[in-house]
Amino acid sequence: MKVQDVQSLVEHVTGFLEGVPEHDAAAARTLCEALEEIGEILDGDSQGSDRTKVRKATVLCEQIFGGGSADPGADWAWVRATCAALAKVVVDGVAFEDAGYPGANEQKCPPTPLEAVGNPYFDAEIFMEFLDRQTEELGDLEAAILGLEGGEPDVGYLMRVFHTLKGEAALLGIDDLSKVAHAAEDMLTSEPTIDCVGRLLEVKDWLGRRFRQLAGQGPAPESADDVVAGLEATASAPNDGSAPSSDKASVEPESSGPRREVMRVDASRLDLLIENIGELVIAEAMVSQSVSQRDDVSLELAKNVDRLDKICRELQEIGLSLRMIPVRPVFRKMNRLVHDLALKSGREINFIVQGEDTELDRSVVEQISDPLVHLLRNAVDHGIEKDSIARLNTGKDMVGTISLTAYHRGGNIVIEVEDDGRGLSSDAILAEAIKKGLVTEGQVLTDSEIQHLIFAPGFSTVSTVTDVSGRGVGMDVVISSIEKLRGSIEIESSPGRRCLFRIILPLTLAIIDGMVVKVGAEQYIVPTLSVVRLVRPRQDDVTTVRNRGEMLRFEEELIPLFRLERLFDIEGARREFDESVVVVVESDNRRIGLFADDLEGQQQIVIKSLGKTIQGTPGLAGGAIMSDGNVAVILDIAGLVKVAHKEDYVRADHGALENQRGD
Amino acid sequence: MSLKTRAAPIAKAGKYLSFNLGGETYGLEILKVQEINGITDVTRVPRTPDYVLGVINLRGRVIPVIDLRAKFGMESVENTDRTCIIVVQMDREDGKATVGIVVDEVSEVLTISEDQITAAPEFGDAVDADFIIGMGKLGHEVVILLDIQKVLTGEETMVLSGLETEQ
Repeated sequence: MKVQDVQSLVEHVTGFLEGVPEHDAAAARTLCEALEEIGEILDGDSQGSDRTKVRKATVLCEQIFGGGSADPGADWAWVRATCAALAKVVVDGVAFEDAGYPGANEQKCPPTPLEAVGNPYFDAEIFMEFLDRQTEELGDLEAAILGLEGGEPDVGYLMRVFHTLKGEAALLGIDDLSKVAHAAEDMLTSEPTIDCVGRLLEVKDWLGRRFRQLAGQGPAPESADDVVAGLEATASAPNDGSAPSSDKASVEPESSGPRREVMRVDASRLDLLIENIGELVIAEAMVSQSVSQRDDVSLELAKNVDRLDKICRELQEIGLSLRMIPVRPVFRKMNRLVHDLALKSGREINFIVQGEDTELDRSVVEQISDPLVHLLRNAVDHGIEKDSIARLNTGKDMVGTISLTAYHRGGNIVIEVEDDGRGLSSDAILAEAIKKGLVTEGQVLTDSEIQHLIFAPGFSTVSTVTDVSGRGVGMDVVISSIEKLRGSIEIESSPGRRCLFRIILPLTLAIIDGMVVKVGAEQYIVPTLSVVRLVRPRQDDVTTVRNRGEMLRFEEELIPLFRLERLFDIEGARREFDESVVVVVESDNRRIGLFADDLEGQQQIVIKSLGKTIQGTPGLAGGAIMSDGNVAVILDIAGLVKVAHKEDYVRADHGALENQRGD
Repeated sequence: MSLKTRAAPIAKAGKYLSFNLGGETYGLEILKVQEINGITDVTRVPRTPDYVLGVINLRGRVIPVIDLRAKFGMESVENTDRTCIIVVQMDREDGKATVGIVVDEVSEVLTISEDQITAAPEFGDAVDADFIIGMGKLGHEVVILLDIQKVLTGEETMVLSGLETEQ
């Protein structure tokens, strides 16, 4: 009986609505009463979802009737659509999900901002796109803000960003965003002062928080009114004249060129594509090799194979570039970091960034941020002298300079962090290392060895711990992250003048430069990054230590010598010294020699896992597919070095060896 | 002490890939088989157990290859043009693993019904029959049904972790 009641009521409502195309107060009132009745009947019903919709429609009708609706037209449309859907459910028996309630897609992420409910122009897709784009824009925005302080103010760009934001936010009904953007624009129109950099950075941070909130990923930031008030205060503050001259002419909108289209792709699909390109290249190489070995090849076939070869090579290049992104986003973050640190520590610092467009593998870019943060913190806090008079006295510029540079060198990317501050004091480091028991007194170390001591965990020569740095945790983080990226770090320092950290990284994690060595009939790959030198040993360079192992004299140092043949049980390897080759490798500043038959050359190698069952075998880093399609095993140098030193015939017998030599 | 009761899961009826190894016929659940390839050059991987023949390049992926003869303690023979690598998929705790196994010869796909399957007999200590999940009797032929997962995991992981502690 109830069901019939609802059905007839809903049918009545639908018929009524057909006669009232536009909203008006009287119609809304009638509808409101009818909906209330429907709602009451539905109250006892189990279909709570329908009930919620009806309740909301009732409220909207009430508002339209009472004049409380901000946009009666849109609300009316919503009520109409709800009634139509309700009719489908109640009369036609359609399921709630399929009825097409207008608000059914309301729950689509991101949640609709409250301000936009009832806004007829609101469109979830446009909103989403707006959020994505604006969030991305923030990086550029920050760089431009910091640019006001440096030599190249681009006020025009900033004005455009805020102007666009203002317009779009207003369209979407997110009023506080447009208010803030408007205030920021106002402030930029009046002469920008030095103050405005800090203020704009606050605005940028606020925008970031607000965007995250809108995307449903964060709490609400403070009220927009505070931000606006701050902006207005700065805008009306008297100009102290030290402002960067803003070029009014550049405020004119200029076309920023066509936007680069970007597509998000699942990373695993990308990897699969790259893997298959690699295979294609190998297969192609095999085909062209067998073609070139035949005598009866027609000109046409040769030509076609040649063409295939070119396409494959191009494909390979594209494949490799797919994962590459510029280091720019990370460098931008560093820009901000140095700016904030300099303010906090009361130093004046000129921060120079170069080579932002240098590209490297996405995963490397993501992981390089941590070590850079530590290095830059150290540069600001320990490197640059706090006392600018002291700087002047030593003949340096009052303002400290820190530079962050990226560039390609060979198959690697190099990132340098340099400061013109105090430099590293070898004496202080050595003293601290002795105190910590890392070095015994009287031990002779090279400058480079001393400098590398700073990477030991907990090492710090700074007596005062500031909230920026000095706890001694930073540098071992640096070295471990860089080793994880298969990179290395060099230090150049002249006390009192400068200090430079040079991080050398492979372009990607998947590809390394490898030296192919031959032992017996087998091929092994030594990552070139760990190779110190190749030597042809003479018999008298090699000493046997109590019949336990061999040591090689290399650069006035005795290093353990590993015969790969023995280590890996390889048959048919050479034994004689004068025909063989020793690859001296280094990891964690310790060296060992690897004794092999011959060097077959150097090539770029794609690292593959050996498969879950045998991956993790000590001394082996993975496999690589060679140009003939076969697999070669890549040596894990760090693992081998550890094994060498664990079997400790190095440290224990070091003294004994020294004595032998002395005899 | 007590009699070993072999309550190991009895093989299910269904399709099995049969292959030949040292004159005996074995069966693998067809669902675990990814593909069958002729034998190719296998790169030896040092410091792995004897039955790990090495690794091969399977269209850009490096997968380990197991010598089933060595694993079963049979003497090794020269490869012939009938020697095959059966590529199987295994479930591991950390996801799927692809492994190749070398067999003398691949025969055919058999459909084995439930009444053709009997439990694996007791062999005593002489034969480690943990990975035998049943015997299929097809006429006068007997097919040894293998749980490839058990063949390849259990002991092998033990050996590998043993290697590590050795270091």
